[in-house]
Amino acid sequence: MSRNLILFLLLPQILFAHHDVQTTILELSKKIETRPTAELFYQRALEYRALRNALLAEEDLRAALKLDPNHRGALTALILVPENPQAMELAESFLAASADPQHQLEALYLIAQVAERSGDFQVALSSCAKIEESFSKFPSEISLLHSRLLLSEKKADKAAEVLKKAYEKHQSVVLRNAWIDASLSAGETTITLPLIEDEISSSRFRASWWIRRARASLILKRPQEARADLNAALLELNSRIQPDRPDLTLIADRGLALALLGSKALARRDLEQLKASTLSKSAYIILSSEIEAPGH
Amino acid sequence: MKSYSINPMRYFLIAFLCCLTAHADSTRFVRAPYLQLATHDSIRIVWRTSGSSDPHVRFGSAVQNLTHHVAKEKILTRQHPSAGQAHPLFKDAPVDTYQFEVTITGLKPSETYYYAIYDGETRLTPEDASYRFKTHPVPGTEAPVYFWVVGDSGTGGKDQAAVHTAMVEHNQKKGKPLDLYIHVGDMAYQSGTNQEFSDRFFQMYEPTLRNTVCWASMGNHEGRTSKGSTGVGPYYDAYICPTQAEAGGLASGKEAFYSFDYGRTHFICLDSHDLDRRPSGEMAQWLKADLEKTQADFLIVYFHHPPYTKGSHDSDLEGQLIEMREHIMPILESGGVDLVFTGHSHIYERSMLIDGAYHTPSIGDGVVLDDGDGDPAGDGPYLKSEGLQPNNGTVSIVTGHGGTRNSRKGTIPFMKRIIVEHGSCLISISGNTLTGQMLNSQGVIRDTFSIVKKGTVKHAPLENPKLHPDYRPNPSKTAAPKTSAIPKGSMPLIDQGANWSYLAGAHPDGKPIAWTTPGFNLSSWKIGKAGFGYGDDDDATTFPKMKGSFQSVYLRSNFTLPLDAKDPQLGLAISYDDAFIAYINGHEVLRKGVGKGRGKKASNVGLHEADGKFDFFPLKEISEFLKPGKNVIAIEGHNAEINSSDFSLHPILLLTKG
Repeated sequence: MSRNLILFLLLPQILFAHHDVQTTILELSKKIETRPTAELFYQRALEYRALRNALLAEEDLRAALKLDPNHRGALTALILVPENPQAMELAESFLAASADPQHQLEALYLIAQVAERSGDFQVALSSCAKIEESFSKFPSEISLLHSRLLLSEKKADKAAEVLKKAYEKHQSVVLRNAWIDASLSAGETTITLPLIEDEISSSRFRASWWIRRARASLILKRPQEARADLNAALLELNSRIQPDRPDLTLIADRGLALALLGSKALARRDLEQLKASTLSKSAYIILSSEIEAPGH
Repeated sequence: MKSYSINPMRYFLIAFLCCLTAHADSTRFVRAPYLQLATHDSIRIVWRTSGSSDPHVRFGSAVQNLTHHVAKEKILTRQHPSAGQAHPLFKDAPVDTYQFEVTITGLKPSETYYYAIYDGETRLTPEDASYRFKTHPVPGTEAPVYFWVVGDSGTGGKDQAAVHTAMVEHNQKKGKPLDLYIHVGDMAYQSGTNQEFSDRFFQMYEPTLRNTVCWASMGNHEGRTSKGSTGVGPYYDAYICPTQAEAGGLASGKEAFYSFDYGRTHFICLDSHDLDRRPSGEMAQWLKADLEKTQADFLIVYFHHPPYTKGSHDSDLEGQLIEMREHIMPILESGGVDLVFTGHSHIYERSMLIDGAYHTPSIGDGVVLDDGDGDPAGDGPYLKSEGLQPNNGTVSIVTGHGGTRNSRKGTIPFMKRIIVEHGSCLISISGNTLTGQMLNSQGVIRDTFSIVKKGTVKHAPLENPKLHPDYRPNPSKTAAPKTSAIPKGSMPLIDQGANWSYLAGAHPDGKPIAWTTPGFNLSSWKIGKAGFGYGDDDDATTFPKMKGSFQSVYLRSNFTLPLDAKDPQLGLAISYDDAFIAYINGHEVLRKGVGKGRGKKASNVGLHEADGKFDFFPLKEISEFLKPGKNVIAIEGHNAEINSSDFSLHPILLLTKG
């Protein structure tokens, strides 16, 4: 068989001979040495990021932007690097350079994320509001961020409004549940309670719904019913939580049940476990406020 | 022995004729018809043509009796964005491409129907029983299911074809058609473009796709052109995934992650590539809610990045893999998952029955519930409680061996089968039994296991599980540093087992200490996990060729000094054999065992044994070299003798005060 024919037959294998991350880095490095481009630096940054080497990744993102200041992938990734002091400046310049509406939306979302990270909630809120006013289609993450910011600002009723609108648009169960939670924080039970009852009757695991019903019961001044639901929730949660290696979503639920029962020291212990993890604050925003609350 | 040779001209002639035949059969189609989003009472049929047409669909309960008609008005047409439609195709599709999507509703559950695609009065699909679809059973009703799982296949090459052919022939021989098909990602190399999808996925699997729904999960290669958060790109053009719980489960609002039911089996697809993988993220919150709701008997989950692998990828080193293990697996297991399918790593790896294996690096202690092979003809099936019970045992399968080149770099301790061959998985669930098989590209079953659910089965992790025979525990990965001299309250700036840039078998370019300064070009260096060395079986990055060929290894890493650190003091805990010199930001700060010189001119190197312990050295008088934020540490390690039996270098940088 001729050499060319062998090559022809093996071509797909050669083309798609995938390497591990380290070999890919080495290959990209060789290319960068001979002919550096922004895309090559960006690709290598992604590989470094895959290896969790944030510093080398950041170096490559900066090298990419030096060669092409408008490289969107590198710019976005650099803006999202935690504790990047230039993030807001970069995000604002990204917005200024965006003519395409989709790029404008992305830039506004980046500004909101950076502002939330740095605690500048007003900027973050106004970016979210601008997206929701100006664009008919946008990812549901933006509404979730918006509601989170509003909850942090103790504006639960506004958060519920944002989430309700988003739920009507996307029909995602995450938005619906977040809307129910925000509505309860705002003291609303008329619409939410029937939804909660439906879920209790049709779910396999019911702890999170019992906790929601307990929140409603507390609003309606029915502490005995709340206590019964919270105890049932704790029983189910403890049967699912592995003490050494827990599912953190269950720890968040347990902490909330404990806080509502008034066991604030135990609730605080769960909260500390969540804070020590990589979870974002949204996972324990209601738990934090219940622990701070004067007591039921 | 008789020898066979292929005449190249004959090969080309056959290939040419095959192309002609294929072309004649699919003259009008850019993508031949394929099925999507089956439910118990509906189905989608999708196809593409080049240039406009007058689409109609006929279907019915017999091939010759297509009694029902779907008119053009009820068929969604999608085109290039320049056509200005509400649902455009991604911009890389040619301008004259037309994608047609028909939703047929009002069907009977578990019923087979036949269909034909028309352009006006011209029938485009032949009168052939393979153009058929079968609706799902009503969710929650008892029904067996048989499905195919493939990953990392999208080369368009001969191995991908062989894996597909092996499955088709196996099922024909058994008289067992597929109910559904799962692809765990990387189905259209290199970047999941429109053309790559057509050539390397749709063309390759066309005979299966015309009668079997492929439920897909996005791989990193498709992720180069498609985006999970927006659902835009060639991947999202190709697939119609449930967003509104159309086929069971809970509405995710996104095609990137979804669930569906087939009888009493619940399937969940996750996007491990480009969405937030943390428990607080939207995907994990949806997953939690979906798991709370399902009442199924079996739970199958699939995504691209494997939580456990030592194939072409390493789940102890790579971020997405670690996050799927540390963040998502606890949610799945507390929800009672049975089987997790992934790809990305080009290999077949199948675990024992495990639970709680979330450590990094992966370890075998305390996570194995059943160390048998799960084979009814071997150690017996894995036993679990009826229904879905929390933390009752998971089997994890990496099935990234669907067509591209396979490789293996190590052993996850609780893997039961590691097979470096092309192939795919066939799973059947009937009553209380799930049976999984790995079929290789030669049509040979290479692995069989079962899960049987009966009564209440209580599992506890085995005390001394029989781990994979190739697994060698690495003390440097698991043991804490053996030294008592580290000041209490020290904080690691570079931890034990961290990744370092390294150069072995050569000396750095430039002046002797240029490589120790910030800004040095490391492009020709590799990245490796500490410790480094050979000969004492305690190294994560080994240099098998070092003995007799070179004596020096160079390491370098960045570290971040907290911005608020006041009068910071640093120390180095290091396991070394024989000698080293350490530098910070281009300044020598510590020298042990190197008499004089540095780099290739290092000499008078003394002997020192690491003995598996770490020695601690405070780094004195370095404050003038340090700066808040990013700094560089560099270490050159030397062996006293070129033929030394071993070499070790494993540094840990500590902030001891400040």
